[in-house]
Amino acid sequence: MKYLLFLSIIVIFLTGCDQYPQDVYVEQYVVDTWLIAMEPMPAIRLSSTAPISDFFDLNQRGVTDAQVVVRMLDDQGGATWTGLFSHQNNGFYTYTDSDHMVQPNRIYSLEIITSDNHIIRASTTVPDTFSVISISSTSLPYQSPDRFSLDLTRSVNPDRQSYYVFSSETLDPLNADLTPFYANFDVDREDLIRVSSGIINEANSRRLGTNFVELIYPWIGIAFYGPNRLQAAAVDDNAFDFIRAADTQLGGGIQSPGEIDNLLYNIDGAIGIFGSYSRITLDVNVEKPDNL
Amino acid sequence: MTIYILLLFTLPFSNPNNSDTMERASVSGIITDAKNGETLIFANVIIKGTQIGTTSNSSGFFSLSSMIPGRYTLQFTYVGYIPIEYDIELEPGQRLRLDIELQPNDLMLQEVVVQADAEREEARNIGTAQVTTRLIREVPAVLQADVFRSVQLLPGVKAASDFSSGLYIRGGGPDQTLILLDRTTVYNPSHFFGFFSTFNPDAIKDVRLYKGGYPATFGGRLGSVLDIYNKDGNRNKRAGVVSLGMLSSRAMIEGPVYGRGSYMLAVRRSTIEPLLAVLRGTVDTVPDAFYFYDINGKFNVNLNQDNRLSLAFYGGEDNVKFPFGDDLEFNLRYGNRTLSTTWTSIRTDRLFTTLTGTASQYFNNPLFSFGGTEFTRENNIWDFSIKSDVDFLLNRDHTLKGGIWAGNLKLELNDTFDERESLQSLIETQYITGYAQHQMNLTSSLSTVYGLRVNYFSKGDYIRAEPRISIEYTPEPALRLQVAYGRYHQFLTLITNEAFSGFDVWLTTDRGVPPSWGDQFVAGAKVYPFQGYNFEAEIYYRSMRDLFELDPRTADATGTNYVDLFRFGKGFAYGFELMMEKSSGRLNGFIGYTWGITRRSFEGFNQDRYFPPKHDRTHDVTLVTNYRLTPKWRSTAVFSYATGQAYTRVLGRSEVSNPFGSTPNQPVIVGKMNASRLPAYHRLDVGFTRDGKFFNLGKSEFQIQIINLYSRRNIWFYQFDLGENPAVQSEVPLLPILPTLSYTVFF
Repeated sequence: MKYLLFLSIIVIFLTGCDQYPQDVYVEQYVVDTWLIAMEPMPAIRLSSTAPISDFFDLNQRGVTDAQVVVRMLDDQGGATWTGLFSHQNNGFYTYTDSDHMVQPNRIYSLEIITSDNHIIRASTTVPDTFSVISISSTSLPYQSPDRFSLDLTRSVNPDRQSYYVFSSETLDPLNADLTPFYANFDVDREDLIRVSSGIINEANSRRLGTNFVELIYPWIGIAFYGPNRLQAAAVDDNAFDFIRAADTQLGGGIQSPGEIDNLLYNIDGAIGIFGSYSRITLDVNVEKPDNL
Repeated sequence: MTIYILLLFTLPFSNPNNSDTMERASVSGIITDAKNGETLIFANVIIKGTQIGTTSNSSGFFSLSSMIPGRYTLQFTYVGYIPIEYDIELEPGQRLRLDIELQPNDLMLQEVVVQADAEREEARNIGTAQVTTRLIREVPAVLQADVFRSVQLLPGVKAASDFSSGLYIRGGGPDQTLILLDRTTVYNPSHFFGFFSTFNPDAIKDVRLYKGGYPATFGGRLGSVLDIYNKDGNRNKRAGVVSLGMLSSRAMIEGPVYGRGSYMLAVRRSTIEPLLAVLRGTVDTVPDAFYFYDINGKFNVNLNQDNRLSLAFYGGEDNVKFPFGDDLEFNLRYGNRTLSTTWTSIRTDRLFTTLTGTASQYFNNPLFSFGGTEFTRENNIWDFSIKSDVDFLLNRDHTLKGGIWAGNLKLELNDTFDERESLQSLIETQYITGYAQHQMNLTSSLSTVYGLRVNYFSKGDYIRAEPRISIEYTPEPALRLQVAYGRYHQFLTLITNEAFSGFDVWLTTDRGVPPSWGDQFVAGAKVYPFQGYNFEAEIYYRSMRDLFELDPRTADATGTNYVDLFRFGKGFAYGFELMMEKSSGRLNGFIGYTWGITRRSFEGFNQDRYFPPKHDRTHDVTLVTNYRLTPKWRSTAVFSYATGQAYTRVLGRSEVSNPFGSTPNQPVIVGKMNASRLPAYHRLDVGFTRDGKFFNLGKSEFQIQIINLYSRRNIWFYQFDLGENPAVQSEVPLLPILPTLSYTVFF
């Protein structure tokens, strides 16, 4: 009996101590900017998180009075270009002094010092640019045996294969009809104006023994008939981590339901994205078959 | 391997009692069921008035050797059978062959049962549990009787959810349990995408679970072993079972083969097509096709008195075709096939050998057709192996076992996207395993089993040794104290989802991806205070090192280095289990309690902190009762209570732009992974069985079962709708109240 009592005391002791308590909500800064190779320096948005149970208005959560600096670095880490960003409204910071174009294959660093002296740092290596060599056709009937087939030069990354995100955007959002697959879903048309693929590895499309990438655009990637803009984007490591972690957070993978992890942000002192990509775009026409 | 050979060949000569072996005698034979001739696995044989005895092996063979000539009374006992005593007189040097038939005790679950304490000896070995086919058939189950659902009732075994039959044993996931059917590995033992297991209760003879600290005779998994044997078939007369259920119906026939053997054939198929046809006109998204089936068969032939040949096969498949809407279709075929042939041979009264050839195939072939774009997968596993086991019963104090298992494992994964090949993977590996084990009675109350298992896995070129030992002390017949230790390695990992097992993919070790390994420590006590009552307590601790599993953040595996597909981690689990069983009388059953802690951590996840996996439940209580209401009516009730499962609480939200989509990204901010708990889980299932006759052709059983009698809305997980502002949290519930009917005829 006394052994049973001893055992019970141990159990109560062990189970009574919660050695893995849940965190409490702590507000965090949120960085948001996507640099695009050979395009002007974009605005940087600085905001803050909100408790999940609160009404969320991003404009009201903009962070003002921060010092925002972006530098382009050389191989030794020295700054070869420095841009001071100034606050416009609702947490948007822009660079207005010159028309600096984001350079491919270069490292850009971000440093933000908020009014409470909180320091945020991040960096991104802008992916190599690439271009369209040829396209099989610029107008095809929807779901015809042929597809929009693009030959592209490679976006070369010396350390890894390139990661792409393919997307299409209707150029006639007011009048174009939805394709049957997307018409299944009970979502607003506005939410389908631009649809994307998620991360696609270069190995899926690279022609063996060549420096070309052959993109055959799948019909599942077309949400609207009519004029569409196809885009292929080669993304940096930050975007790669952010997108794949965001897809995991949405569920449906191998993790058990309810088992959630935070995203991979690669930002010190904040969450969000300081990412970059290079891209090509091409306008095509998707013909609506008579029987649909 | 050298050690194994040395042990096998040197110990017989080094035994101190060997000098007078010629003067001593032995008795050996096969123990079978008197009604149908089935061999009885782990039946007990005891020399009356002593603690000296043995158990039959997995082929029903027993041997007592090095016996001083004279008169003896042997007691033969087995769970659910009437014990018998047999008087023998042994002459010097005599090797008596004694095949024994035990009569089933049909009153086992009724009022008058005499049961020897030693009867449950093997079933009560440390970390071991036996599930009777009767329990499987009687216990209330969702829509149909199921082996795994019954196993989930045992202490230390947990279910991921009402929707999953996967076995989570002492902190291990489903891939950490080796599933063997007639000595053959089964890779995805599920139907209905994980809802049921593949094993047909009519075809099964024996289900034995080694929860932990299992001996050197098994290997290949970090955690546990579920060893299932199908029936050999009735050797005395033709018999069968036909059962009609709400989800599936099944039939089994068995009988003798010209007095030299037996056969058994069992078929089960889902029977819900008529219901789907009715629903199809009124309800959206009803499958165009859905069925599953399985076939079990076994043939046995006695070549002579000492040699037996058996051929066993299993084939099962699930097939669903689902149109979700216009231009949106999903089709999935998956299943398993196994084939094994076994030659068992009684070489001498002390030497028993088994030679088995096995073939196992697992396949799944999903096809998604979305908006004119197809994704297809051909996922196949082929596992061909040969294994040889030797039982050498040196004398009544020493038993040697040894064996070799060698095979070729091929895993193929071919994906296509939009009619073009994408991920293409072919992994082929060879494996060789050898073990040696020595069972030794040190004194009349102290015994030990120790052994060594050595594994070679060619993918990655790994050789791993696994020492195992267990010690048992029996200070008095009604009390057994046991401890065990073992090291275990696992060369495979499973990609699965607890909610859906139809897409399961297995991967192996390779260079840079070392095998998982862990140590297990188990201590236990078994007490038999009164006739028909058992009390068991076990504590365990196990470590898990070099865990490797697919990185859930893997976006696209194509062209990715193999090592980069995985996340690597470690873990541990500890706890204790209590079980009190009343095995006889009008009211019988058991209550099991588990207190357990499981933690894992993976590099780059949850800030490298340990976290409880979702299936971790601190407290888990199960009460199973059988009560005979009248001579014709029986009832069964199962009550389960468990700590709520772990989940990750969403604390905050944010928003960043999405240059590739129309809607912004809305990452949520979560706290520590799985640091919160769902509300406690509890459920009561009841079942009633009426025995009857079917037009004088045979006995019948009518069953009505109600799952979740008081319709407790247990929660599976929470989900958030970020489209609402503020975000709305909703509950995704588990099973509601669910009645089930079945009718079974035995002829």
